[in-house]
Amino acid sequence: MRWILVVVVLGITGSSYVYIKNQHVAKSDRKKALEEEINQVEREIETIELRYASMMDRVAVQRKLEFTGSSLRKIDPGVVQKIVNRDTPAAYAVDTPRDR
Amino acid sequence: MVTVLSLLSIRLVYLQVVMHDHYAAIAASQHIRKEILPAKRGEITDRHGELLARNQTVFTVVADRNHLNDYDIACRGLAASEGISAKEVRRKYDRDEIRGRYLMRLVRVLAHPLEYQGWELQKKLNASQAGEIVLVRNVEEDSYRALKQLIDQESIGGIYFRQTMRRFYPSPRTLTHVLGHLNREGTGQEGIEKSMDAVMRGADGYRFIERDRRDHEITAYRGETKAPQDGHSVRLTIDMGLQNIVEEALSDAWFSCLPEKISAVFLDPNTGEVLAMANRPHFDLATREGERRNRAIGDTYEPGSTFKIVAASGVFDRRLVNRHTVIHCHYGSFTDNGITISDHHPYGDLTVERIIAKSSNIGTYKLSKQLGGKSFYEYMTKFGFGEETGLQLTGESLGRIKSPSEWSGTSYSRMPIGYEVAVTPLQMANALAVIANGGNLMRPYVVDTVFDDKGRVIQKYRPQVRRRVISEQAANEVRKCLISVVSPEGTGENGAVEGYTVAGKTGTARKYCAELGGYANGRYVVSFMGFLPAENPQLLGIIVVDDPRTGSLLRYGGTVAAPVFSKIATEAAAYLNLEPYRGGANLAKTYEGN
Repeated sequence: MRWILVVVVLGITGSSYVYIKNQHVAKSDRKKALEEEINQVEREIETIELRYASMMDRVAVQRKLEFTGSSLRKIDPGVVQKIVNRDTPAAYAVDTPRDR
Repeated sequence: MVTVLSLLSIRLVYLQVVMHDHYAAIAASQHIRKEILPAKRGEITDRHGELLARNQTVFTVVADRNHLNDYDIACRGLAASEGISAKEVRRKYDRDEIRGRYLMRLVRVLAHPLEYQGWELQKKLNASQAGEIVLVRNVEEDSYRALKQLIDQESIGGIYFRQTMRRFYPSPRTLTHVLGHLNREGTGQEGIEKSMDAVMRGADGYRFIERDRRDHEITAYRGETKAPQDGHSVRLTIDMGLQNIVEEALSDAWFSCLPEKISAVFLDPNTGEVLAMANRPHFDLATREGERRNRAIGDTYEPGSTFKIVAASGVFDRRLVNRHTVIHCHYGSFTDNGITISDHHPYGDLTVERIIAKSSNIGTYKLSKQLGGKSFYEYMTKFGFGEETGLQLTGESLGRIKSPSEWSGTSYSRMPIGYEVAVTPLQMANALAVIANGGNLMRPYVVDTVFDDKGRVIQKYRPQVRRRVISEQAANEVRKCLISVVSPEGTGENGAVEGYTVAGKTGTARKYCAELGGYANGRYVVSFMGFLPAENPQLLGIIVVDDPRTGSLLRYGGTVAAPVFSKIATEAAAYLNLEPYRGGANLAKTYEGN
């Protein structure tokens, strides 16, 4: 009887070990899959950010405007009389009375 | 029987217990690897946070020749294409046929996505019978995913992706010399990439992993891990809006003047912040093709008349003269101790202010004689000539000024007018900043702040006064003289900016050619440096044009370099919202009254 008990306990222990080990491996594989997914998303974000930076580059925007034959023309600095500083609340309030 | 079993048991104990460590180490060497976790290199941005350089994850597509020759891989690949089982493939074809057909299929499937002609890819794969063959570099994320999907769908084996980093520059032909670039190992070469390499590269991490026989990681057995420490990011003092104005103007001048080179430096004279720096010729940051030398800090030239500010500053600082002191200029030719100095126009009596405005060589020589050789040399060193400015870029030249013990018989007549001295454009601009800011030599700087990967400030660079060079009053006097230069009576009228008072100086020096062993006829290095608004300087710049070929246009600083400065300064004044001058038309006369 005692030996049967020992065998049963050993058997349960061994089976538990195998089960836990398998769970460990399965969870690790899932972890790796999630890591891959996160890396992929991070790379996608990175690619989008860099493409955005490329598109918004001043030289690129200027060339695009020229290429598409934009009717926008450079303002001749000589005709500029005043540049309102938009960060100055007082000046802004004066220039836009309709906001009151 | 007992003996045999006993011997086997002894052998078992010997292998498993006595030699345990030895065989465990052999097994580990085959399965356990140390995987490097690369650190992300820091970003570079301009003063407003505009991205200038950043790392991008890309992939290299490689073919493993050993795996392409693998019989099982070839069977599986061919089976997938023919819609039969691998067993049937082995029955249908012999070994060589299987490998050959598989390779042909691989070429057919991958040639177009990898942007190869079929025969090109075939040739590349056959070039080696073992090892890795690099097929394509710098494959971006979306292309990588599409390729991976295709390879999985078509059961292509032997083709792998190696993740790597490349440096991405949104504007690869702007600010090239300041930014610099990386070599293939990811180490900075030139520019900020080199000078701040230790700060930006970070520290790689590592992870011990175990791989199965298919070289796949067994995640459950991951060992010791050390996370990578990402590099710090750098914010520059550069203003990309101004930088683009400068780059455009230089490109225009490059094509209109056809010079050997042009350099431009713009800085805040009060703080020493470098706002823009550009050269032509330059290079492409993406391809690294072109001229990579930063001539604005690395090349020296004889500055000509722009150097006259040294003598002028000295005599005002020592109170030997004032602006209205009259000096006789001998109608264009003056001989002193057997040395003849000449002017481009015959002037009689000129005030000190007019000497500077008209750029009289004779007048300047006589001023420096009042100063004395030793004092003149002292002022040259105080202005920072002959030493590094301290800018955070590598490759800076010290320039050269001769000590009095090295002077020849002509040196003292030449140096005050900008010959027999070698300066860089940055040194010259920094010297002019002394006049603009009231007499202090500032340390120019181009790196403003260093951030860690969480955005916390690690180091903030602040304006540094290296030394006082001249008194504020002396600087004021020189400034008033320089305002006269940029007036209808001065040589720098073309450097004027409508609506602003500009103080500046022209320079036209004969070009010394080493191959000729002397000065070349008809070839000049011309320059213009100036700052505005003169009454409250906010922006200072220098344009140096080496050997312009302008056809009929006279090759003077006032005709070639000054218009470039004026064009840049006009656009920059609006961009930077500089306060225009509100006074009367005759700006020099009005300022005299102060």
